[in-house]
Amino acid sequence: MNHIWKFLTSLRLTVACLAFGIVLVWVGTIAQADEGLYIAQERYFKQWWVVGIHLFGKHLPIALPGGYLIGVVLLVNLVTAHIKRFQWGWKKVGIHLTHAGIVVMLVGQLFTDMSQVESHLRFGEGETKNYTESHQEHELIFVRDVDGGKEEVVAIPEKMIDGKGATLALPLPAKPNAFEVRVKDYGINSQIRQRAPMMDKGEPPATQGSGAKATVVPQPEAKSMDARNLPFAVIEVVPRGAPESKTPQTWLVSPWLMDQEMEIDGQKYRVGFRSTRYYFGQDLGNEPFQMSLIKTTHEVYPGTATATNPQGIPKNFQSRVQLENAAASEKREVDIFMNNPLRYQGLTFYQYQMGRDEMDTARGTSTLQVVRNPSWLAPYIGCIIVGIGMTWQFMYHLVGFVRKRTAQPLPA
Amino acid sequence: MREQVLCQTEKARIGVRVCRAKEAMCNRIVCALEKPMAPCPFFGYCSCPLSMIRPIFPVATALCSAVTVLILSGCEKPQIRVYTVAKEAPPATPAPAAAATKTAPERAERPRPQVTYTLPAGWEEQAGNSLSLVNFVIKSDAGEATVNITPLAGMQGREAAIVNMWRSQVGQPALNDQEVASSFTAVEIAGGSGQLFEVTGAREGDNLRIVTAFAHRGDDSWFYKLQGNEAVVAAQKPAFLEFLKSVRIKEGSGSAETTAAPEPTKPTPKWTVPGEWQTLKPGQMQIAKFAVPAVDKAQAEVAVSVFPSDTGGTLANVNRWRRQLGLDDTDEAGLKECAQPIEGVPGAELVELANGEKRMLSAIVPREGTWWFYKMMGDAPAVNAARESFVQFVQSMP
Repeated sequence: MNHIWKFLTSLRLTVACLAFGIVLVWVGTIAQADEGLYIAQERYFKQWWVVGIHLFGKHLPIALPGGYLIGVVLLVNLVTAHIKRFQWGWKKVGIHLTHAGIVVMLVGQLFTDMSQVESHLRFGEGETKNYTESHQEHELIFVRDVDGGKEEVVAIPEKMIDGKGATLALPLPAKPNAFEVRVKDYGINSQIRQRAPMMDKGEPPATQGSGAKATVVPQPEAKSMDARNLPFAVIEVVPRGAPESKTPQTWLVSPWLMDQEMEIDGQKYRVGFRSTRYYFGQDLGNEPFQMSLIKTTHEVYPGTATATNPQGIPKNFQSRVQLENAAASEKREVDIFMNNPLRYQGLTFYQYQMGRDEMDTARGTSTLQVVRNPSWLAPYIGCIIVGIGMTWQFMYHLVGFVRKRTAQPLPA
Repeated sequence: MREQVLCQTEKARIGVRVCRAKEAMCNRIVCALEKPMAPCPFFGYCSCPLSMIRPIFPVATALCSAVTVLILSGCEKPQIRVYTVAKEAPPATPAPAAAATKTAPERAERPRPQVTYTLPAGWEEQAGNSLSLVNFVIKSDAGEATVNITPLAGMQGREAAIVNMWRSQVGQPALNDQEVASSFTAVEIAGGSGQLFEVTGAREGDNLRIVTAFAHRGDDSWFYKLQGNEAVVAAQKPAFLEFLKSVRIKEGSGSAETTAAPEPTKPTPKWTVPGEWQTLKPGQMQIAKFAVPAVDKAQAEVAVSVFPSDTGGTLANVNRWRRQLGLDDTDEAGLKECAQPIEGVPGAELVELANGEKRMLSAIVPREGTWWFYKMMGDAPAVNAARESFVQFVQSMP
């Protein structure tokens, strides 16, 4: 026990953690060139251990502690060392505050990492939405219309079906334990197009729906910031435990395709594979609300359009939206632009992109980045505490030094 | 007791600085650490005003670590969600405020672009779809090729993505931006300038070639794509280049007009529409569309299109219509059996086709350098009942 205590409180552990942290940040940053930002974040920083790294296009069989491990060990080390070496005195208050601020930042970052959800809200002028969509994650959905103008949704995350041969229960509210989904094929990224008689002579990817007339071209995983994966899956819905059929009724699902109508146990469902949706108010237990895009404003600096940059240099992207919360009798218009996000119900809406509707170029579209981060205040509080601590420490020594100087007799 | 002895030892060592109120807690910690001398790092501040928080530290540390580990290990597990939400509103309509803006009326009334061209020999026109405005098929003994014209918005600056998408279709590796740019050659398109690139490869054992020309017009990019069997595409490339020169695009609004070549005026029909016909919104490349009276549940529609050429001749058009009805192609001999002149309309031909319950009645009428195509298609009872009025409708225009 004593050895553990000594190990946890040792300064060597602190130095080792900081050293590993520097290496990890460097490796994770360089690896983004090969693996892309999001994958690098997942592989290096949101991990306990990193096994195998990519540097300059080469795979190296090296193991490193991941971001979680370094962060947690550093946190425990900081707290235990503080306990062991704690000494009260006005002289030490600054140091205590500085360490407390760092603890707040570390814990806050941990909770941010755990609880933050980033998504996008993309709509055209005149369009109203009550949900945002994930940029990276997808879900397989089975949707059935129910009374009251509502729809019942069963959403299965992509991570549960991301492998051939996966089988999982399909908890339809009408028959929770009666059916299961069998994944016949899956690809993390794809292109899907209509079958061309001259080019596609093999079997279609699925026997039912759009898949019977489509061709899937698997693509490598998207790694750049401005690209996204468009996965596909070939699925079969059968009664639970049913034997494998020689003529399975398979469906191709993908964000490329519109929702398709499927009949399960006499009920009509729409099946699709779409970006994961987060409905306003649903996840946090708040009142549901909706947002409409009224007008987009895209200003460029006059005279900056060139042959290579015909759009010119952007000056201002601005979205005027109408926020409507019926439960709270709230209906107001808000302007969202750079450095002026909208904060509402724990969500922060930032102006992200602006464009034109592909089918109607006279119509403006806007994309807002929506961030849900319950611990967004933690870094601010942490920084304030650290600032106060450092100021205290500096001033304490400065005052002591000045007093000492003034107490000395002036030379004759 | 060991605990008391240890604590007493420690008390003796540190003297008056021991906080008696916290003695029991000190004992517990000392023993837990099993270190008789200098066991408790907290003794030093037992007498301080913050001594109340001392016992909290180890507990908080343990809790903090435990919660952290639990959170880290417990999260990220995907779960199936089942919920009920309000149905999504139908596709967007401009909000009142947006409708009041300058662009809103243009948006509502913006027509689909009209494309005219000189059809090369051997090309057969096919119906457009949701993406392509115009489609053609070219058949030869060597194989088949297709041509389509597709306008896409927002593609300017994304040429590399288009090139690489085409390349992936024929199993070729992607190119970087510089390689893509160097693969372009200048070409004349619709009276203006454009770019052309070619992709050759194989798919499922067949040698394929894709020739793509594109030109940016305002916010839109127009893609002209010739693809198919390599030998057929190679043979048709000169015709394709001539076809590109002949294309003319007429748009209802937008800056594209500035680059468009002079366009023949849209013909104004001077016809007499039968009173019982119902006027419908014309589709792509149509100047008028009508619904004829239904017979029981049998329905049929009439559509009229005008082209600057005969679009390949009567036989090519009849074969295209035959395929729309699910019939095989015919030859000149078969054409004579289904085509007949129309009384009072010089040069016009009336073509009657039927397959089961589906029936089509078409008329090809040359008028002042343009070709007018009338087509009535639908269920046989409705087409038969409207036959006379259809012929009179064709005859009604001089």
